[in-house]
This record gives sequence, C-alpha cells and structure tokens, in this order.
Amino acid sequence: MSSTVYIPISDQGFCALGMRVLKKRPLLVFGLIILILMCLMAVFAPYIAPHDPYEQSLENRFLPPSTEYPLGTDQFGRCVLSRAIYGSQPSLIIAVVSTILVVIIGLLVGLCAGYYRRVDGLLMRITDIMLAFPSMVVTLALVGIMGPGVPSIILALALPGWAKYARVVRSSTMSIKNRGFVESARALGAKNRYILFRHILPNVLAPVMEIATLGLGSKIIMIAGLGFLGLGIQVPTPEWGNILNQGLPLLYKAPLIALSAGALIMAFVLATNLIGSEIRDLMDPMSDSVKI
Amino acid sequence: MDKGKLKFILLGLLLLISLTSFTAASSNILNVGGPWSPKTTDPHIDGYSYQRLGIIDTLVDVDQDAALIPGLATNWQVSGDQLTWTFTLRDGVVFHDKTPFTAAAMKKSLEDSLVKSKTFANVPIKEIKAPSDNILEIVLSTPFSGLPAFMAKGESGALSPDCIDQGDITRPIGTGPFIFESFTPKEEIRTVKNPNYWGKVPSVDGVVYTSIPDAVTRSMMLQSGEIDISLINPPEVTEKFQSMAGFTVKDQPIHRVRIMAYNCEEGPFTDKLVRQAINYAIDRQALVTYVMEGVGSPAASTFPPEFFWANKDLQPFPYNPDQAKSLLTQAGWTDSNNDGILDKNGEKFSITLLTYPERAELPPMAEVIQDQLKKVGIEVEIVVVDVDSSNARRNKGDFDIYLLGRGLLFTPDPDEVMMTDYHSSGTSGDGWCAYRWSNPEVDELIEKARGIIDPSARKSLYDRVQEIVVDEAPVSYLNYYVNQDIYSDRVKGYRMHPTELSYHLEEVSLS
Repeated sequence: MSSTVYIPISDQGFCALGMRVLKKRPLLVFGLIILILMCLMAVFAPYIAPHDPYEQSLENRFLPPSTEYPLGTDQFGRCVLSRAIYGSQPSLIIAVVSTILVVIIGLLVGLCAGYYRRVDGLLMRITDIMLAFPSMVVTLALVGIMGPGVPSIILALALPGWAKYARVVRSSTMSIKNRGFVESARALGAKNRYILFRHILPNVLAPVMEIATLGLGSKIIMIAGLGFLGLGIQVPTPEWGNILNQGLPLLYKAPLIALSAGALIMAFVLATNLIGSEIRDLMDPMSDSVKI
Repeated sequence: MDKGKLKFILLGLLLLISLTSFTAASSNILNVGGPWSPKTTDPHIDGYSYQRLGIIDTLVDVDQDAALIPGLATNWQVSGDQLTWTFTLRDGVVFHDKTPFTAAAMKKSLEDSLVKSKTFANVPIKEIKAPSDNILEIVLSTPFSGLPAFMAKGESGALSPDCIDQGDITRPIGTGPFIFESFTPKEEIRTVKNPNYWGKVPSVDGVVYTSIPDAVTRSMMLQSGEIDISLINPPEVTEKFQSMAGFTVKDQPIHRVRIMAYNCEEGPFTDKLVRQAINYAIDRQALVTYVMEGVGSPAASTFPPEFFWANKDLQPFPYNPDQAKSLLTQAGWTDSNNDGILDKNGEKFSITLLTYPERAELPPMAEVIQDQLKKVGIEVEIVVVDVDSSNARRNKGDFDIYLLGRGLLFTPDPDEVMMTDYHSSGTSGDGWCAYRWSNPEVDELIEKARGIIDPSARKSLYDRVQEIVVDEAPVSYLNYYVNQDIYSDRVKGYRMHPTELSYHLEEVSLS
C-alpha cells in the first residue's frame, strides 16, 4: 500500500475516467457487468424467478431440468433455479452491509490514528488485538453466542473485519498529511476536520475501495460457509450456503442443487476479485498498465 | 493471479490428494463409524456405547425378538412375595483383568451403578445380597416386574472390583468379548479382542469405533475404506450404496419412533385442542414416502405394532387439514388480519421447531412439517443444533416443538419409557420428553403396572395409557424406524439388533 499514488480526485473528472476504463480494461468491465447483473438479480428476484422458492410439491421432487423448472427441482419439489436466484438476496445484503460497516469503522479508526498522534498508540494496539484473532473463529463464536439471524451475521462479520482497513487507512493518512496540498490547506487556515474529510479522506478511499471489493467476495464465502455449517441464514429461506449444504448429500442424485449455488458464489467472487485486482493495478505506479 | 499464489494452490491440492489416498491398511481391525460419541468412560453413568461395543456384559441379554435370554446370569426367578429376585451366575467367567466374576463382584458393580446412574432412579431396589459365589439376590421394596429387563441395560453391566475402586472410571474393565483400550472424547473408542471370552471369541483382532456425526462424511469414509461399517444412514445415502458394488445396505426395523414433543408448559401448545389439531395437520404418509423414501411406516402410538406392548387398536391419525383448521378455530386461533398466519388476541401463531442433525433425516423432515403446518396457518421457525445443545435447549423449555427419534427398548421392558416419557416424574424433569405434561390417571396406571408380573394384565394397563396419551397429545407420533446400516464386502456376519443394545461385533469377521 505504501507505493500507492495519490491523485486528487477532483483533477480527473469521473466521467472521462470511466470511459477510458471501459476501453482499456476489459477484465474490469467484465467483473463490473457480472457484479451489476448479480445485484439486479437480487433486487428483481420476484420478477425473474419462475417459481415461489418456498413452494413445496413433494410429488414433483427431483425432476430433471425442463421448461417448467429450468434447473429441475430439489428434494422437496422446489424450483432449484428460483431458490438460487432468491439465495442471492441475503448473501448480497449481508455482504454489502457488513462491508460498509467495516469500511466506516476502519476509516474512522484509521483516520484518527493517522492524523492525531496522541490516539495513534491506543487505537493501533486495539487494532492489533483484533488482527491477532483468526476472523473465522471470531465470526463463528459471535454467531454462536448471538444465534443465527441477519443482524447477528452482519455484526459477526463486521467486528473482526475492520482492523485491516484501519491499518491501511492509517498508513495512507500519515503519508498524505505531510503532502503539499494538505500543508497549503492548513496554511490557508483550514480546520483539522475540514482537512480530514475534504483532503485526506478522498485520497485514502482508493486503496480502501480495492480491499473492500476483494473483501466483498470473501464475505460472500464466509456467509456461505456459515450457512453451510448451519449457523447462517436458516432454512427454508434460500441462501447460497444453506442450498449448498442441503445439496451436498444429494450431489450424486441431483447435482444441480449444489452446483447452482456453487456457480453463483464462484461468479460473484470472481467478479469482485477481478475488480479488486484491476483497481490495484490502476493504483500501482510501478505497473506498466497504469496509464489508462 | 500471481505465480506465488498459484504455486500455493497447487501445493494445497497436492497435499489434499495425498491425504485422501491414505486408506486404512487392510489389517484385522474392524473400523466402525457412527454418529454418536459417549460423554464418559464410566459405563455406570452412560453405558450404551460400551455395551454395544461388547466391552461390558450384563446379567440378562436380549434376543432378536426383544425377549430376555441368559447373559452373565444363567437363570433368574422371583420369590412368592415378588420381592426377591434370585439370579444364578455363569461359572468360569473372568474380568479383563483376570479377576473372577463372582456374585460379590456383581454386587459391588451394581451398587456402584445404583449410586451413579439415573437409569435406576425408578427401580425400587432395597438391597443386593451375595449369599454364595454364584447366587445374587436383589431385594425390592415393592414388587417390580421390569427388574430383569433393567439387568439387561448397559448401566447395570458388570465391572471389575478394581475398576470400581478407581471412583471415576477411566478404563472400564468388563467381561465382554472386547477389551477397552483407549477413548478420545468426540473421536474414537479402541478395543482389542478378549481371547478368554466365555462366549464366542471375536474373529477380529480389535475394533475402532469412530464418531462421525455427519452422515455424508461417514458415507465417504466408508467408500474410501477408512471405515468398514457405517451405522445409521439417511435414505439419500443408502440409495447411492444400494446400487454400488462392494457394499451392502441392511435394513432392520428397530424399536424407535420419530415424534414431535410439544412444550406443554408455555406457548400455544398448552392448549390440548391445538396439540390435537397438529395431529391432523401432519401428512404422516408423505413424511415416510418422500422424506424416508418409503423406509418406515406411519406411527399410531409409542410402540410399533410388531411389539407385544403396542396398543393395536390405535391407528395413525389421518391427514385432514380441514379438521385441523376447525380445531384451531375452536381453540380461538383465527386469521383475523388475512396474512395467512393464524392469530389469537393479537398474537401470531409463530413457533419454534427444535431438532438435531445427528439423525440426518430429521432436518429435512422438519422442513416438510414446516410446510404442512404453514398450510393450516402456523408459522414455524426451524432450529437445527447439535444433539447436546438441542437437549440443553429442550431442558430449559426453550422450544415449542421438539422433533426427535425416541428409543423405546434400551431397557427391554415398557416400564422405563413409560416412566420417563409419560409419568409426571419423568416429564417434569430433564430428558428426551421433558414436555411438562402430566395426567393423574396415567401416573396411577403406570405405577400400578409396575407391580404386575402377568404380561397380559400389565398390557391392558399400558393399552389404556397409550389411549390417553394419544388423546391428550403431549406428543405426536410420526413414524417408526427402519434402521439402515451399510458395510463393505470385507465385513462378514454383521447383524443389527432391534433394541440397539449390541452391535454383535464378536460375530463379525473380515476378509
């Protein structure tokens, strides 16, 4: 992160930047398209899904794919495709909300620690403590204590996650606060808060965006992991992790149940990883592909 | 992706492949995988695992038809006043530590068990006497016909006197066909064969029982040869093995029933009408046909009909959602705000169904029940947690419906299940059926039946109990079990026991 270049965002113009990205960065565009499609799928699930994902019809179990059921039916005669589509809703909501939470906490802690030397030591030691715990263990423990449910899963993912962001933001803040444009703002009489939010914050956002997109993907995997362990979203609410869990014993008989959820998880994580690594390339001054 | 990462992933894959290719070397050790793990090494606290694995023997054994046959005792009889049971002990039996098995040793063992085990809480034993080396007398305070059956339970197993002197038993020393070697909690029990066994000496050199709670993992370990026998499998697993060469799926109807126990202490199920309504709202045949793939049969009462003590006049409830709805309306539950969910005094009919995944068919069954109850306007939240946590929740009363598989013949006599599941002393305490329901007539009948030796006279009392319980509905009986075990073709001579008291591993040989 120390090699990141800080370009005042206002110099560039978002639209122009966007157009150039489209032309020169097909992978980024590909990732963005998948991500946007996934989000649309989650939002418009009731309009896209061919069936009610909760509707059981036991006499129609384990049907092979047909025009009526494009991916067949599961062990309770529910539409596999509809469940996979609806399954995106809890996954995406939890991933996005918990990522926003960790970004906000990470930014606040990082900015304060980097800008105000007095609190730096204290905040960073707390951050170190958080980093010392393996995040999956903390998540499992928290969900175990609070019980499964959307709010508790969001909290359990957010609590161990922010430390990484705080570290990155702190180091970026420390290097930016001594740069010319910050010094001149200070010379013009700007208050600390103004400098923090108008000059420093926009410039630390880039690296944060990068880890946040990558984090989004890993959150989806964690949520699915919790669902798989039975600690995530509870049945019958479809969620990729619990679909995978239910589909696993049936892999031999009805492989599409587990594969549908597995494929969507893979596509989502692929998209976030593509976007994340492209953003990293864009930020890296040593990379040849920095010019866009 | 950079090269470092790629290398790392390849290395990981390689490691995984090399790990999975490790299979158990074909030795004469039998590997058994099952969902359970005992919580203790003391058979007098919790004896079922040690009895099933053949580490301990009991005075009385149980045959394939659940009748009592000689075990460590060659015969037994009761005195005229029905207060003294005399057991004649088998000659020439020695414990694994070479101590001879005598009436004095058995007396010491039983007295230890009486202190430690909850099993004997309702058995009116006053005194145990050992008048000679091979005569054991058990004196009761009141007549109790079920006594010999209790002597067939793991907790009454014979342990060597030295072993009991340990206090907390960490190495059970019994007389069984297998000698205890080691125990790792939640992982495994290891035994070696007892060459001096009084009965059939095992053909295998030893047994490793591994606890694998997840049925799919168990089936994969069976397929890879890590285990030779996989106990208790759900239909989706057995179905795959039916057609697979090299494995046998064995069906055995066992004395066990799947039930829904209601919380009769608080919540909507305090109302008898509501409990009765649920009986009509459940499509029992659909559960058997679609969840169990046709294995098993709908249940009418606590005992399956092939069992002597079953009340054969009782029939399974028919599926009749309209009847369920009208009973619910009668109980005051109506859908006043038209949201599809019933309500009463402004409160939604929203309940928690608790179950556990160690019996792999229970969570999918819960989902079908959830759907069936939704059709009569009841919203069900399913909570699936491991068996220990779910038992803890049940004991706290933190449930509305508890879905479970209930064993009926761990003691091959109906008294135990009647006392724990239907007598007020059992339903008010902790246990599988802690639903806090009680009925004075049921209590009286059960107590009366304990003193009657004549089976048919006893049965008429139990018939009446079953009738009352079905009407009062503190539980709904769903279906009777057919257990499905799978074993590889290496295993010869494996049989299951309908009472689940033994795995009979001494009869198994490996090729």
